[in-house]
Amino acid sequence: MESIIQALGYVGHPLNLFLIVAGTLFGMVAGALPGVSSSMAIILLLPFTYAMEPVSAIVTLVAVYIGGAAGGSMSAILLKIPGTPEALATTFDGHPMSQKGQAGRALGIAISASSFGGIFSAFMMVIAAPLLAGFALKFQSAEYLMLAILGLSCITSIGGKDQLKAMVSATLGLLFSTIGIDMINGANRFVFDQPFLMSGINYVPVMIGVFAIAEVYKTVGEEYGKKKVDMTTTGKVSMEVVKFVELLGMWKTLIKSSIIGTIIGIIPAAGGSIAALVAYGEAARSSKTPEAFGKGAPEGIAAPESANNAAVGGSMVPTMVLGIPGSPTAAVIMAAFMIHGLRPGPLLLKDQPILLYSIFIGIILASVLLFVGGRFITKEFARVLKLPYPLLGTLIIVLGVVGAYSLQNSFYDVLIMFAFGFIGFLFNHFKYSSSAFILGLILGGIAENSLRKQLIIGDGSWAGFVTRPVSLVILALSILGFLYPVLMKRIAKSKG
Amino acid sequence: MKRTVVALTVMIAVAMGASAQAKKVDFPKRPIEMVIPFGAGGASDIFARQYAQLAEKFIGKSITPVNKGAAGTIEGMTYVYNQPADGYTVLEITPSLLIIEALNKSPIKFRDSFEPLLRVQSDLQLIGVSKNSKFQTFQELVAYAKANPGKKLKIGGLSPGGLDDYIANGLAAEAGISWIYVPYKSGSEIKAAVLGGELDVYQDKLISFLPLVESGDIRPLIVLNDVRLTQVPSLKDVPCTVEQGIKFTQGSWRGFCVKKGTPPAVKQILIDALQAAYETEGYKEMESKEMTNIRKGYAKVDEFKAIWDSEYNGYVAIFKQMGLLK
Amino acid sequence: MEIIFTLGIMAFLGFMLFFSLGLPAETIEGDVLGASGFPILVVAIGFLLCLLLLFKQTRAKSNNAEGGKKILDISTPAGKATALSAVSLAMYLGIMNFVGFIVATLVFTILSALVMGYRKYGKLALFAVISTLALFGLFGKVFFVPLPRGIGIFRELSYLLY
Repeated sequence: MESIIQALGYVGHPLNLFLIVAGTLFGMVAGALPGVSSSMAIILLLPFTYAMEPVSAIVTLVAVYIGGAAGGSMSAILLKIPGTPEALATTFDGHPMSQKGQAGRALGIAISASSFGGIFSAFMMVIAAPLLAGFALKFQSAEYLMLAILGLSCITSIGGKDQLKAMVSATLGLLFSTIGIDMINGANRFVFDQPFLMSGINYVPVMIGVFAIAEVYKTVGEEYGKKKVDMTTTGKVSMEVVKFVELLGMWKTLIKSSIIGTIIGIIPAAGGSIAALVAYGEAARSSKTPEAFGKGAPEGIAAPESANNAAVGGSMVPTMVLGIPGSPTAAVIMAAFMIHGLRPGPLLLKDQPILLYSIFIGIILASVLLFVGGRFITKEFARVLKLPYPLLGTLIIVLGVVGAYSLQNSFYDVLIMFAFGFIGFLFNHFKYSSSAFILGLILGGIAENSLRKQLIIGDGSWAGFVTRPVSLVILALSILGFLYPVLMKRIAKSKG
Repeated sequence: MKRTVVALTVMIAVAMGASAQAKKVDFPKRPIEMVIPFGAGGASDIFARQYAQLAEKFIGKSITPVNKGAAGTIEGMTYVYNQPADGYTVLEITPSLLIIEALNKSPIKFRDSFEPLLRVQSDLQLIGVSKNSKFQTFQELVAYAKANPGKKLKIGGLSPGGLDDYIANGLAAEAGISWIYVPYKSGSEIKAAVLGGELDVYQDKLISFLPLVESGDIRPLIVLNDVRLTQVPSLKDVPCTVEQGIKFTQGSWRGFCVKKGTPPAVKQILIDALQAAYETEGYKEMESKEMTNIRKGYAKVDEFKAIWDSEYNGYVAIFKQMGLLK
Repeated sequence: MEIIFTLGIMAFLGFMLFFSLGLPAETIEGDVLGASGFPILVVAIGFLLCLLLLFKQTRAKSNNAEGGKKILDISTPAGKATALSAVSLAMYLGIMNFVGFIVATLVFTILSALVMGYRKYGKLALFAVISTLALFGLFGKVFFVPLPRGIGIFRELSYLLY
């Protein structure tokens, strides 16, 4: 208790408050720009924190992380370019809602859900950090495979009308994920002597290609020459504020997604993007109106956004308690710990109790700031929708090109984006599912890698997947999740 | 009159001297790019960024760190290779680049295409087990491995055919045992796998290893070094490989190089700046925080070049033994 | 058309299968799947799903002769615009490494907007300059992305800016 008050006094210092505000805003901008991840933003800010007190430095960086996790939703909703991988699932419903002329509402839901998720995970972190950290160790190769399968089971919820085509799309995604150096035995797979293929096909440029670029071509094809080419039906962007009641109505989705986000955030090597996908799948599955998903359902925005921000608090838990970062961004924050002479691990919490509470307060403040200040920023961003489509579409393409390039400063990624623009266009035309394709691409690597690692660990035996309790439970959940939408349809039919 | 003549001659001489100096090299005229052939956020990335900040004070222009991490260091190397050899692009290097050459993974031959500037630091690798493991010492582990060839132990590391793979196999070969190397994608996964019981043996560099020893989660077994680490209180009793008769002390290191053909004068300016940065208090502090000051990493151009060749031969030998090379 | 696309996917699966078979199998003890196991498994599932799909599509075809909208009809203005904007993007990427980011983006912005049917030239020029500078500032200056500089004179000029 004493530590909390001390931490409050510390974080409450005007300079620290200023740093949190600046960090959150910087994170939001970085998040909104495709290709610039929150970890990049943190690394760029690192040199400025050298001169700061360790606690101020860490709190600032955590604020950037929070801002980044929320910022990605802006470009996802407005331009259909997920600004960060975490915002992938937000495009599924955020962009359709924006096309209906409700960009303001979509952004409002996203920002509010983000800040809810952040605050929720902060409380989880401070109440049960040591307890939860142990959970991170329950997650071994077998469980990772099951987590990937759980993620893949969402296809039936996100695939749209044609389930079979969605499954084919996901299979293709899985297949593309095997391109590059084999992560187990180092063999070159499908590389054809092209060094740029060795590290595989990164899903960020693919995402930009199949969503943003393909969407621009689709819009041009449909809207060319029409007098009023605009993304909004009313011609002007409505910035209606989300009603508080609407948020209250989604409390179940918010809490469930935040729990999913926190848990997946805790697991090392599974960050906000998987959390958001799983939360989205779960929200679609348990919804009373699953058919509204993918067409602008408010829950479809709230679920992934609250989950990816909840993953921030979650990922800080094992970082501080075990010295095992829960996400790539948390790994960079851990590097900052080291630079400031702090060694994460059980001793850290004993020696520096203020640190945990300061991070806790930092996350809450940054989340509140999102809720209050985020509205203002998003409003400014939403102005781009007022551009006539030829300009907007051009801007989207250029932004996509720079974004794909910025990811690894590699021009090959831009070419990959270009190629996948065509594939996305064909997918749209033949009603295959780009979302399912990306899902396969993201989860394929984890699935194959963990499957084979578990087999090596088990000396070639497959038993481990079913004898490990956590693994078995997730497997059961995945099978249920996969069949549930299909079963519900059957039941509905037999009733009607 | 005489005085004026003298003064004039002096002035002319000075002016000529100055212009001769200026003609020699005017470097750098613009910012220098420091290419980091790794993604953002890892130990080598953070090191290069901090070092760039220290060195730019001595070179007069800014040094901009640029991550080119795709294709496992090949992208970064290729990028520098394709830039003009004018000293404006400096490449950070670690053993990974020599390993790429040893494994013949890139058409660009690293040692033929680049020239060393300075090796700055060197890391130590340690081997340990989870606190719940039955092994108390490295001898026990070796004895078990020798007695149970059918039930092989598993050791983790980053990426197949990389430095960790080499260290795991090189150490095993020297100790006369064999174990199975399981590659992971990140350090955090390896730690979780060891603490969670999936892996039997843990290897890591000192700075990542130490917190787990201090928290009691990991029991250190052996240090890959020729002396014990008496400077580190919690590791002072841990035996080192050489005292156990295992002549294997490989660890990671970090240094800088430029493309072959860079003018010697330009190279010298870069070396001087890197050298000056090495001698700063700021760097000393950075090293002690990252614990890279225990084994001498500093190596000048010629020594560094010799290290390239000797390590390259070591990699080729072990990779042949592992069957990665024919 | 639909069926051809499905067949195309199957051809791609076959292509990947062919190369999978050449990959090394078990090189690490216990790695029973090896480098080829997972791709082969995925290809097998893919084939199965495609066959189901083909079955469905051939039945659907006999039911209705709707057949198909063309993927891209270049004879219509809209189709032409779509094709041209893809071509201009290809040109953009083609020239970027020669003339550098800023020049290429300026040119592309103007070209692309014209292709998509924008005709207010004054506004367009202003937009091209502002958006190029804004992106350059954000990515190049704030986030230190080393944007392509081009070669020759363009490279020298770029050093004046970044």
